Amino acid sequence: MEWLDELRRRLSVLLRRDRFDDDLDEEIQFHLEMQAEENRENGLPAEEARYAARRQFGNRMLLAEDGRAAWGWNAIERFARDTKLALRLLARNPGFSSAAVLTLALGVGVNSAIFSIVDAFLFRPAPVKEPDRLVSIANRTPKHRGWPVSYPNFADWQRENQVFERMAAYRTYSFVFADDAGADRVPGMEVSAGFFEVLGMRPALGRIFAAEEHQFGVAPVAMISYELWHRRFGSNPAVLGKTITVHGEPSAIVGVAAPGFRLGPLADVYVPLERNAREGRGSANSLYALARLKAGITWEQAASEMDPISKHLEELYPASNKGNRVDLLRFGQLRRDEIRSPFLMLLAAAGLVLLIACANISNLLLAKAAGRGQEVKIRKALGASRARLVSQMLTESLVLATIGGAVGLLFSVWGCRALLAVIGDLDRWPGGAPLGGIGVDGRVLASTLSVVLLTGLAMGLVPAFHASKASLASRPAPKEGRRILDILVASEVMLALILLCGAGLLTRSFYHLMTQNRGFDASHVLTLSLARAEGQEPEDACQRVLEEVQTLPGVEAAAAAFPLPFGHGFSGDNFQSEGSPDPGRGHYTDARIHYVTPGYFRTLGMRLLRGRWFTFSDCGACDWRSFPRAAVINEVLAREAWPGQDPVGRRFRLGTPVPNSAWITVLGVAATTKENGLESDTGPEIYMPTSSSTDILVRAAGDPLRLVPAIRARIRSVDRSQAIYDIYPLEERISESVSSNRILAWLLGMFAGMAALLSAVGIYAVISHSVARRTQELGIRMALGAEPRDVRQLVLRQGMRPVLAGAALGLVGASAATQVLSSFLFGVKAVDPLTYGTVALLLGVIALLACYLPARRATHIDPIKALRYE
Amino acid sequence: MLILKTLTRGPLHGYAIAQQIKLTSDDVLQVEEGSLYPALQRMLMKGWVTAEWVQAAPKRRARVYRLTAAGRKQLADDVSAFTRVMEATFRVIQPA
Repeated sequence: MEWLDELRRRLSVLLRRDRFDDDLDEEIQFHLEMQAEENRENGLPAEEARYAARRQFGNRMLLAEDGRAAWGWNAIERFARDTKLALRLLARNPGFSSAAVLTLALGVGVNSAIFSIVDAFLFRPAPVKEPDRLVSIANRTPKHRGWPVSYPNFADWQRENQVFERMAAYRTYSFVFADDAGADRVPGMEVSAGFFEVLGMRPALGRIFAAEEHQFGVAPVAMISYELWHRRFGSNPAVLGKTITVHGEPSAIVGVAAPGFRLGPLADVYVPLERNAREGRGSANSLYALARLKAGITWEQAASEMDPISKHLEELYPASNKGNRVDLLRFGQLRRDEIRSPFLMLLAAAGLVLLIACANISNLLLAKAAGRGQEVKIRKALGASRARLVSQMLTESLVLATIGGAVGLLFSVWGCRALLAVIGDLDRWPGGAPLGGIGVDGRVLASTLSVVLLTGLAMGLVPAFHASKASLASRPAPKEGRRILDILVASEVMLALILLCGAGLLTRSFYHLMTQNRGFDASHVLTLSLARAEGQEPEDACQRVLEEVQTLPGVEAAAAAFPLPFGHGFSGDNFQSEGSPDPGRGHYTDARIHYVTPGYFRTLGMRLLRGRWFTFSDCGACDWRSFPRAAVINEVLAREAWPGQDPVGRRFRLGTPVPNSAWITVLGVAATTKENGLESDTGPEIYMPTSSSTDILVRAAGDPLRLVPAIRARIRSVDRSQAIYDIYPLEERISESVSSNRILAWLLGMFAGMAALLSAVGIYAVISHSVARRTQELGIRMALGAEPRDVRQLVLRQGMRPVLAGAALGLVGASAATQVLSSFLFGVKAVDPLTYGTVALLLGVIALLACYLPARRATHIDPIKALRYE
Repeated sequence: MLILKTLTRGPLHGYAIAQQIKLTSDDVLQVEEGSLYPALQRMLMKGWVTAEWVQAAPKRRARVYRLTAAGRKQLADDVSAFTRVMEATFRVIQPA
């Protein structure tokens, strides 16, 4: 406890500083008087005695200083004094201060905003009970890692293991949700027993599912999300006991999930999984599994227990489980893997912006420090040590950084919201962990604080050491000061160029993606999906819907298809052409199959290369049960299956060949399209006729969205219980499919823009400053007959030298740094001379402009005034 | 240690402490004012001494330092440590 008492005493000094100072002073005074008295008694005259006492005593100020040092607050007091001084200096220089604070705030704000999002997704533990004991369990097949699992395998994992306290699984599923107000389609989840218990979710209302409600054949129940409860039921507690129709069954609502509860994709309705899960082991790998480790069980123990289980399953079910193993992953790891690299890239880009901001402020501080040579000399003359000067100047930059950081934090609160608005809902991948809120929280605050301290030191160190070097004996070497400035400018240009190159590449790649030949015309095409609340479709509903819609004024064509272009899901099968030898299992051509109604080709504006499109007569009474006899194939498949020959009239069959499987005749060859995705290369594709699908395409003469009310009314007139959902113009689906490319290009472009702006400001500041300092020299030059042109060139040359050096380094750096981008690039190489050249030119022009303004000012120097000024 | 020892004889002010040490050591040991007062401040912080103001003359106050229990203990520790060192030193420098 002794140190506590000591601390108390020291604190009391800090709090009653004046009294302690006075006491010490009075005590010394007393000592002096006593000494003087003694001296007088020894026979010295009064005046002499006092002086002698002083002499004997030594430096009174120093002693008082030492006495104070004993109180142990010197460092802090010095810091407080330095801080006060720094604030006064900043206040006296509002132009510099606001420029520096704004620059920093921009840098810090961007970093904190990005970090708050990245942290929520990548680093922060999930806001659930004991997140580190939660495990995501994935299936590892010979082809895929982190794959979902089928229900029978999941059930075996669950039964055989001894290491997990609880295991659960879920899959996303969307339901047609019907109540008195009408039919609606909502995203949902099928969850296994124990799902909510594993996550430790407490319902906001009602209860979670009971164990027996998961069993086959019991009365159906459902839970709804807090948000749906709020939106659809006005947060009325009477919602419990109401029924909603799910899977065509009226299900009682037993509970409302906690607010904000979600596990990856949004879910508004939860239903028990096991009631409906009757699937084969090999098919439908659709479940995401998670589990909570038993107390005292380590990760390794769990992994070594699961491995033999999966081996045993492989032995029992070789057909479906060959080579399948179990992967234990950190909870939410699947989503993290999905988004890690773009996120880290953005974080790095934001870091570069901050670095440039730092270099900029270093520049400003250096320029300012050059003007402080006088002050430094005086202080040194008064006995200040270099360390003391450096620490004082560092305090100044720390104060600056703190203010900038505080403003930056404000920026980041706003910036984070803006970013989320731009990025949209990122939480779309299943296999994630709950996020909790995204925003500026304690962790972001802490990271910002450390960033601020680091930047404060980083940007202050060089100027502080440089300025404190000023010595009494010699004039500072102006050359050296300029070299440091030049290096800073060059590094700013380098960093900005790297960012600009990255952004340029992504933009070019995105442009390429959007303007490439798609093979179809998406403009004026509307897509929508139909679903009925009560299970099965009537046989001819789709036909009638298409007929009704086609007769609407403004509609040019309509079709139904599975899958929709840029939609979810796909269908594919083994392809074998007639007459070719059976290549054997595993070696068939894998063709994607589109089931489309005859209007599809016209609706999408596809191009026919040979033969003809099919019509309704080609499938006769074709529906999904009777197999079609004719099809259209795409160019790729034609080339692959019948190289150099006309495929029209030839036949092929699908699936694993059985002796009497039906032959399908090729009617026509379509030009290659990018309807599966702009980024993927188009493979072999087959268009099969069908008469119905729940996904509809409509080509309009004008803006397709204006037709929506009319289309909706027509469809309702055919069948009242149709839910119409996912109504999007096809263009929107396309741009949605490349949204991550767009966002990445956009964000990186924004950062690069900031970087270019900051470095332009930096160059401008440096050159302006140097012109101001050389006023006299330039004046003399002009007095001696230098033309304005000469002066301008002199200044420009001096300014552009570091810019060019930085640009050269930047190009080298960019060709290395952009390698990390290559997986995000489409149709552009990471080292793209055109992009690099354009970007370097752009930055050069900006830099030239930044140099030109001060250069022009230099030519306006009046020689007489310049000389008199001295 | 010297300061603490001096204070065992009773409370004293800074000037008196300096005089005392000078006197008792027959002018061999002189405590510099420059180290006396910082030392006293340190001891105050450590809690080895307490200080109070007393009226020394009609218009003059003196700060008087008084040894505390902790100070006495510290003194004992210091003295024993010092003695041990001195004895050892003697043994080394005295001719055998």
